[in-house]
Amino acid sequence: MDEIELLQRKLDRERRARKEAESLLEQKSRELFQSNEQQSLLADCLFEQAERIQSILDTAPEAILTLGRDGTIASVNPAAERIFGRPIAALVGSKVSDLIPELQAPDETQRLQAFVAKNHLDARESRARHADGTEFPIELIASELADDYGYTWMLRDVSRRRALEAQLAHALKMESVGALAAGIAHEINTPIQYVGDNTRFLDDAFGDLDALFEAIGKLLEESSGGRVSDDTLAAVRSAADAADLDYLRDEVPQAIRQSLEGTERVAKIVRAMKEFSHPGVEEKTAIDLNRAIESTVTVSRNEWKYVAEVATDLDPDLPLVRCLPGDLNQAVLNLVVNAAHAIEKRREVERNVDQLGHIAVSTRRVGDQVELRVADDGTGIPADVLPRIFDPFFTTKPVGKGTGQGLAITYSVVVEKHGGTIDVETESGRGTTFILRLPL
Amino acid sequence: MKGVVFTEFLDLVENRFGLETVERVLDAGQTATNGAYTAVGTYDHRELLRMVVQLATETGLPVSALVKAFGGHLFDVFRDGYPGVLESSRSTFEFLPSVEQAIHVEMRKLYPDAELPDFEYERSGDDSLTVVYRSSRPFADLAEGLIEACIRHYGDDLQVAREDLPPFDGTSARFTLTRRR
Repeated sequence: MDEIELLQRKLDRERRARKEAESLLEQKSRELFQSNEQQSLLADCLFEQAERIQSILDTAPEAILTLGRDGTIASVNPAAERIFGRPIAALVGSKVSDLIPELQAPDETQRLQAFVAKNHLDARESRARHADGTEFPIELIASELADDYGYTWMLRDVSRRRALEAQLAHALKMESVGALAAGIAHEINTPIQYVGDNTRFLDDAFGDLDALFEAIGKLLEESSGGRVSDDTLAAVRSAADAADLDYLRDEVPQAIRQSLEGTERVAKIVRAMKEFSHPGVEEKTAIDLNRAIESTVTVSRNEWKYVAEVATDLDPDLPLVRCLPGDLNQAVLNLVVNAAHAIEKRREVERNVDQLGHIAVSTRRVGDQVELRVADDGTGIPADVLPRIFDPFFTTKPVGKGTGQGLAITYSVVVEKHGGTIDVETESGRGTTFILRLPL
Repeated sequence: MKGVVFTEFLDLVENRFGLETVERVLDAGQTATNGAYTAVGTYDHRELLRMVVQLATETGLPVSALVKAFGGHLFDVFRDGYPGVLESSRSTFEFLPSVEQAIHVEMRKLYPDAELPDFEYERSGDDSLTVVYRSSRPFADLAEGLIEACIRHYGDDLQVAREDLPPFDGTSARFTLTRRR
């Protein structure tokens, strides 16, 4: 092969290589264009998403904050500005512990970590500080950011809800007081009736004695002159006979005793009602739990006396228990009333209305707790119903008989407000025991 | 394999052995493009292997020596084409560990489909560096040529010990660079 031919071949290769290079360049240009198109679409999409997310953040009623691991606020939304009464510029860069007094401690970082929700439904309650220095209740969900940057907080002011809950709790209390009122009126009416009857009897008796007192007065007057006429003596005897003194000596003390018992009974009911209501006590107070139980049993007597007997076995050595008295009374009342309803239902089912059921209320100390048991021999709770008994508005009672709030309130009072526990032992057709334990 | 390797190989053959050898090498290579390689294209590496074997036949030199020499040539091409890359390091021990980050990252920007070899590095004190080469292609000789050219470029007084690794087909090798006392 001569040199010309070799050069010709090389030139040919170079030409084809150039064409291939140009083709590759075109292909790359096309790919670049397509890539740019995609980038542009992606940028539009990201921009749109960013706008949407910003709009969500701007209009969210909850405050949304992002925090660094040391609690420095990195970003907030307008709701945070409204809730805390501080401008966004003042919030960003400040410490979250300035807003949440609970976090003002040397171990702030650990406390921040403890705020992180185990799942996204676990809201934590705390208190926050407004720019004007007032504190208000909040509910917040904290989660860890995926990139290990820090935390996201979603936080809402629950002042209004708390106020409504307090109003609702008060209304429910008033409702139960109202429901008890008819029974209490009945309970008071019986002793009042026999106090009235006895007083009327004493009034009549005094009328009968009036003629005798007059005759005795005349007798005393004459006797001071040293001479008593036979007529006067006869008048005294006649008046004494008319008054039936033997009868009165038997009956009057009895009437007085019964009247005193009646007034004592009324006083006890009124005292129990007063203790049950505990108006205005919102702080935990050390109370005699046994006495509170006796009051509750007394005011609820009309609810159970036609279907059951209540036996109390209250530990006399029980220490005072720090609690919210009104709430705890309400919780015990709910259990006693439920027990009566369960017994009533069993009597209906078994068509056995002659025999009363039994409700046993007992207290005892177990370690550093107080245990309160309310046991009945009513219908028991079916297994399929048991998991839901503490759910709000869940009831198996007929319309008008139960609102489904009783056990939910009892749970809230014992577990949430007092840090106690509730256990249930039940056997269908045999009865139920609620076991409440409260920390001392 | 990137076309620049093929074009540089043919340039080397032409400069050293003339156009006639290039023609014979290309004939033996059974190339898909009849030797019309472009630097930015991508081609089957087996074409290069066949051409090297033919060159060995033509020259009577061992294949490994030819590939190693080609590695040295390639280093010079890169040095002239991208002087900044080498200037940012002061020695072989400084430059080689930067290949993965500085060069391969840049290569992937230009050629996202490029199949690049993997390098692992281990420093044992100030006087020793171990480089482990792993590739899907059997070019440990090429890597050795590149490393030796690099040492020459920086003027380092280093000794290179090569140990072929399983499966012992030129796809894996350990190079231990030790400073001479």
